[in-house]
Amino acid sequence: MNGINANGWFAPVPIGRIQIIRIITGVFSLWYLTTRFKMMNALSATNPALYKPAGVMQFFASPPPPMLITVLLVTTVILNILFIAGWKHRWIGPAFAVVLLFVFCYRNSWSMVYHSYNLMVIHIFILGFAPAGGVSSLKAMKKEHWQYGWPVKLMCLATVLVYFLSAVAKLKGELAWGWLNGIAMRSQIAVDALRKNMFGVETSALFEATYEHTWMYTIMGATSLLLELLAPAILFLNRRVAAGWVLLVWLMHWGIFVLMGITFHHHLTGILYLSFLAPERWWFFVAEKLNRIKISLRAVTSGALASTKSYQQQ
Amino acid sequence: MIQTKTAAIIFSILVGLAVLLPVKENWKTKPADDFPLSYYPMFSAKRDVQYTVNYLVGYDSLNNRHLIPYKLIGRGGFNQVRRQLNRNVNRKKYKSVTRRVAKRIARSRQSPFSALKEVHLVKGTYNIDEYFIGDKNPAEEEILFVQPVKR
Repeated sequence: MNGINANGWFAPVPIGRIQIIRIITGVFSLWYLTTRFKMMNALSATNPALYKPAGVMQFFASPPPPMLITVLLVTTVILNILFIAGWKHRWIGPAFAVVLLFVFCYRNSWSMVYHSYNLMVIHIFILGFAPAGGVSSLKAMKKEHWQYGWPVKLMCLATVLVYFLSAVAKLKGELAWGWLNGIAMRSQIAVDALRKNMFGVETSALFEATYEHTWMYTIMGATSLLLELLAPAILFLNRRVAAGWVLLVWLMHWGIFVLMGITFHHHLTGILYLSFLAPERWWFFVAEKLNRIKISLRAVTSGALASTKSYQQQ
Repeated sequence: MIQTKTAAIIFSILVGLAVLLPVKENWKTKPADDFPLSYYPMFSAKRDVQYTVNYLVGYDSLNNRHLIPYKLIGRGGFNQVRRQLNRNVNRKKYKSVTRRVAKRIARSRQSPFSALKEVHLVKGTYNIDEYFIGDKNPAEEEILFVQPVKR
């Protein structure tokens, strides 16, 4: 067996993997925080009657004062930058993981629980408490140790469990196996599009164009349910099968984007799936190519210099 | 930071169980969603052939109808604003919601909202098939409240 969980939970992996995942995930959360800063800060002006605390915000029975939210947001952005840098990760990692959790729970405490950033928060929580700090040189990045493998596997586990939970909710819901019916899936998209239209949000023209082609929705509904239901098996299957699953799930989210206009940025960028891949290999590949180019350029430059010198001597 | 295998095992089990635990909501009569530990109920509800939605429409002096975008209704994302509107409608706070939106519209300089004279809070019922095949009119529309836009 050479699956993601091959050689046990503590199989050594290069430190570069967890560092690259930390940096990319950190940059993504920083992008989210900075682009939504104003909106999240303004949430404190919402009618307090609409406050329904989610997750750790249940410690606050009523909305926290606006000043506290501003301080929380600024602190989170600063810690996020330090998290990306990998500086004093022993302290910064857990601190960032916890404040980010508060920020996202606050974001979801105003009458609507979103499902698009749960895994980002969970992944950062894992990375924050794992030995994922520092930035290593290319040579040091290849150093393998058991400490760097389990957090990445835990991220994979959390991801497949979330997909599995989505499948269970569909099967235990009113639709149950009717989800396999194209009409059921299409009606979900239709309701979403209708709501968006009523609130001035642009919807996909492709959906209206394909509305009467139910067979398309049957294929999409059945495929997505199978991908979600079988997700946990990915941990035990061949790495190539896992990569295939990642590709199909990623395409599924692009399909959702094209048909419903729902932008799950964390999924669409592929950052959510980094733990299933070996991103350090891409970095090694690029770095080696760059190194070769550098060596050839040096050879060309020194050759040119030598011929100039011999020409001058003549 | 976790540095021993024992701590890593405990942490892994706790995280795995925490992610999996919300599955129990599926067996409850009144399931409750949460963040970040959710049971992911999106797309699991059965949809009827008709769908009822609360929204706001504005009318200009020529009686042209314009749907009010969510950014003029409340703070947050589209779904958040929609849920907030539903909560207010369920609590029958028609007047306060419509007045607040009318005030925002009065401050708006963006066309066509800057020319609106009246805002209606409505409950519309649509035949889904008909709507997506071409007929965009509601099968039924109940006006819950009317508020003039005062500038």
